[in-house]
Amino acid sequence: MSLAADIHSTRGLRIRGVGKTYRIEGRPLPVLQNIHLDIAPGEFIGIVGASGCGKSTLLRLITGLEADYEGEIVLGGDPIGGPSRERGIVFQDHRLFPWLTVEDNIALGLDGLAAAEIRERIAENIELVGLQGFEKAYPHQLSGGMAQRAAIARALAMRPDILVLDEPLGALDSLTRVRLQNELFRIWRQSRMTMVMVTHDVEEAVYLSDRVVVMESRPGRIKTTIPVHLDHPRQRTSEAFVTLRRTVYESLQY
Amino acid sequence: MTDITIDAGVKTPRHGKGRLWRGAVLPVALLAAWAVVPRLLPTPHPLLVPLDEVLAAPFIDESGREIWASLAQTLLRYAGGFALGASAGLALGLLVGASALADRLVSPSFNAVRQIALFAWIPLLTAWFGNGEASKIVFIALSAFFPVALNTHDGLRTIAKGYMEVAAVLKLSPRRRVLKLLLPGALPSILIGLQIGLITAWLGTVGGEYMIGIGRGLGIFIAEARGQFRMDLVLLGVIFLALIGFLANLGFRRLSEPLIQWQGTKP
Amino acid sequence: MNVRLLAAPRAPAGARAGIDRIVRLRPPAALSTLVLPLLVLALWQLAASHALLPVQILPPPALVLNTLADLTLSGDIFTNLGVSLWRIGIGIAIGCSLGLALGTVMGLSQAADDYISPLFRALAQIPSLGWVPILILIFGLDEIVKYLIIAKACFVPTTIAMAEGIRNIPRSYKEVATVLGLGRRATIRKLIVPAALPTIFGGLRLAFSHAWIALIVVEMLAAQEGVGYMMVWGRTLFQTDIVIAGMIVIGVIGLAMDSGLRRLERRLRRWAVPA
Repeated sequence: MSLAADIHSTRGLRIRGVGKTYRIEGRPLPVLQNIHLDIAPGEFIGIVGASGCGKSTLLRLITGLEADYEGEIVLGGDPIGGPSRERGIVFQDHRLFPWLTVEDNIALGLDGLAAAEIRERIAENIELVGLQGFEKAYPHQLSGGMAQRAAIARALAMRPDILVLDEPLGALDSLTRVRLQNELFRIWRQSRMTMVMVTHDVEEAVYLSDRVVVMESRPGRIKTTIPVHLDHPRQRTSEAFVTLRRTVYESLQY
Repeated sequence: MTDITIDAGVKTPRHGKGRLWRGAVLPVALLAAWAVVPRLLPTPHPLLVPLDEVLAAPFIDESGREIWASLAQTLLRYAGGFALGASAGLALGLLVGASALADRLVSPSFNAVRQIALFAWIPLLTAWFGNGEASKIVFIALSAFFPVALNTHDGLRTIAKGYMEVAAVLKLSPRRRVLKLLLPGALPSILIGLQIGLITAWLGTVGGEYMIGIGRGLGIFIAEARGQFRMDLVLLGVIFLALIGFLANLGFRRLSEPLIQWQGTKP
Repeated sequence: MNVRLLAAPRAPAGARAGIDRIVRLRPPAALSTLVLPLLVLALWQLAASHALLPVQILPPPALVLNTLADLTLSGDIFTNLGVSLWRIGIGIAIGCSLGLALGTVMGLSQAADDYISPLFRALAQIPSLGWVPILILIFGLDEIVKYLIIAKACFVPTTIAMAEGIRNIPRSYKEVATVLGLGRRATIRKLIVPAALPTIFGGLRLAFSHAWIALIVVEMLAAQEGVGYMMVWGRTLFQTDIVIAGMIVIGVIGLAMDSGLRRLERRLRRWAVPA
């Protein structure tokens, strides 16, 4: 499929010695400390950790929504600057612009391209996320799961090198969540996109990730990284899966 | 399940016909009384003019017929003044909403000046511009200006931060940011501002005419009718005052609803 | 030769940070507020001192200040203010109490609401301004006209707010009251009044501002004293400095009233019932 050939990531992300400190009323509040992480192109990284471990902050640093950090974040050899279309993000609240249709939302970051190219990208991403027929719908007409898929399409339409997902399925009910997890896996496979996903749901992380990064809080640090060497599609009830899940849970305890 | 109401025991018709009939009782009774009671008096009281005479005045009465020309003048002023004030309000609101610096510089003064009750401007305006068209138009513009500017500014300022982050991550150019995010995002508020502005400008139109008292218009018509003790013409004028305000509001709502249909039906 | 520089005694780190914060935060906020007014003032002064326009049209700022001071010292402002405040007080008392009463009836009784609401809404369409000539024809330039206009101005928003406040109490709370077996009086006291209070207060704030505007209007048209009249008087005498002074007084009072009420409302909203 031409899709895979065009979209897939080629550059890896290198995070070295990254730390971030906020100043609240003159006193320093360290949020992240000494984060080391190497992410290969096409990898799926799941990040889990209790609230306050800075995982969202890490994502925001990667996307450039926040700056002012120690250490370095390098994408394929180039240190990152501010926000860029090379690094996309999907938020927990889909943040589709309510006044634009699904296809207009997807095309939001595509100015500068020829009209034909824009149409093509819209079409291929609509197909990728499975929203055929809903191009002209408005966000308020979509269910939570559909809206989130549209948000993913919007991010992928720009053909980023890396897609960061900040608890993308957190606002959905559990049935929808499982369904979207399967969808997300399929999208990842088809696009061969590098994905870094923060989640509260340990099972979700084990289901999707190549590696699960466990973070601890105050200040946010990487406690351990657990590789998931299971073949896809993974069986949530298989012994290996359950064991891995337990391993992750246990490392989350103190 | 009992509800806490005074007439919990009375069977209240839930929808439609029953309630409509009830609502009509008082107005119909009042109108009927208005038509009949003045005629029951031994000698006609100048202030108690029967309803039908009031309604017939613009067609039959010589002074009453003046109202049409006055209305035309007033409506022209209304349109002109409103256009002027609303554009100025939009411009300022957009500027102050989009630029934090402009906001810091202008907003405090704007809010202070806004505190001055609108009609308090009239003596100053007439001192500056005389009693002619200019004062009236400026006053109407002023009446529209404040609500439009305020709500436009609000609309821009309260665009959810989440959307601004999306715009940042998607690297939207300033032009696209304005066209695809700021303007549509602020539109509901802007429309509210225009709706309020329409009403205040209408009150400013007729009120301004009434106070300044010179020239031709609905407000002046009412003022002159009052001077001549013509209660019927005063009532006629007030009816038109209320009616046109109501229609303007209704018309605007009908026209602006399609623009924000993307909001969907709120629960 | 080594010159040993004596280090100046340093404030402890915490205090320093505190001072830094104060020094850094204050000036920008205060300064930017004043930029525009000072600019306007400067232009005003410039235009006035070059006599670009006659004094009747553009009195110099100093004159306005002078007039303001004169009026304050001579007590004129307070006399007029007193009359105005007295009028608005009576008008608000009449209008708001009637509004609260009618609003309660309409809020509690669906039947009453059915009968009254259409007529109420139709009459509410007539602005206070419209009532002025009607009432003047009936009562002349008597004080009662002022009271009635102000009363009408606050009557409408108060009624609406009261009725809405009662109606908007979430059904879920009413169900709790039923399940707990609260009698009517207890329900009114413990549920309806506190839950409706924030909405009612919002309506009262609106009513006050409408009353204030109505006061000014009616004083400009039909009075011999009061702050509204003061401006008309100044205008008649071609003393624009009095007019501007009057506008300043009106603005300041409007601001004081509004912010005072806002503060009160914020206090009440602390335990507001979420809609």
